[in-house]
Amino acid sequence: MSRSRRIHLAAVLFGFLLPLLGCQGLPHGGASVEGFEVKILTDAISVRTRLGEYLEGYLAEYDSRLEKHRVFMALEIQKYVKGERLTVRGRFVDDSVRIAFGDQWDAEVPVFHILRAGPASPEKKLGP
Amino acid sequence: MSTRLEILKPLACLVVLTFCIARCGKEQGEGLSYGSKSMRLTSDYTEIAIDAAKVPGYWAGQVGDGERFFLYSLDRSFKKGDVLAVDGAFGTAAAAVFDDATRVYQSEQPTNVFVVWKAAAQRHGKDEPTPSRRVRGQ
Repeated sequence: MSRSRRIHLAAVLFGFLLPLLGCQGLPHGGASVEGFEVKILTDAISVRTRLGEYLEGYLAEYDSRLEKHRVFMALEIQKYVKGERLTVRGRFVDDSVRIAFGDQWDAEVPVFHILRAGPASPEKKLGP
Repeated sequence: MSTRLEILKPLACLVVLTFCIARCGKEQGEGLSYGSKSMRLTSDYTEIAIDAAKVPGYWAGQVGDGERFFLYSLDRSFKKGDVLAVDGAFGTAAAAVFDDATRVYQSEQPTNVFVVWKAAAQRHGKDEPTPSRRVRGQ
C-alpha cells in the first residue's frame, strides 16, 4: 500500500472515530447581541488578549452617546480594509486587548466578537 | 523533513476538518457521509473559517438540486463556473463565511462542507474534458 493511500486511510479512520468522542458545541457567551456602525482604524492585526486568547481582527471605533468608543473587532476572516465603515452585530466578551494607536500608548479596548458585519449604508457613509 | 511536513500539514487539516464536520453534524442529528457528487463552482478560490482555522476551497452548487457546498481543497487551479466530479466526505459545520460579492461576514453559519479527496473537471472552460487528479497534498 502506498504512503499516500495509508495517510488517506488513517484520515478516514479518524473521521469515523472522533465523532464517538461527542460534541462539545460552540462556545456562546452570555452577553446580549448588540449592533452599531463602526469605522475600521487599522489593517487586520493579531493580538493576545488579557485572558490569553489569540485573536485576529481590527481596531475600530463607533459613536455612542456623543462619545467615540474603541473596540477590538474579532473576526475569523479578515477581508475588510482600514477606513471602511461597517454595520456590525456581535457580543462583547469579558476580555480586553492592549493596543497602541495614534497618540495613545497601550490603550485597553474591549473585545467584540462579530456575528455579522457588512458595509454601512451609503447615506451614513456620506455623513460626518 | 520538509517532505514529512508537506504530508503532515494537509493530513492535520483533513483530520481537524473531518472532526469538526462530524462533531457538528452529530449536533444536528445528521452524520458524516462519503461519496461522489457533481458540483458547479460558484466562486473562485476563497476561504471560510471553522473553529478559528482557515479552510481554503471553493463555493459550489450541486448539479441537479443546486444545494450549496463549500469544497475544501488545496488545489487552487479551478475557477468559477467549472463543473467538477468530486469524491470525499461531507457534512455540516458551523463556519465563519465572507461573501465576496456583498462583502458581508457572518459567523456560526451552518455550512455544508465537502472535504475533497479527488476532483476531476468535467468541463473546464470551453467544455474541454480534463483528466481527473488527486487534490494536491491530500
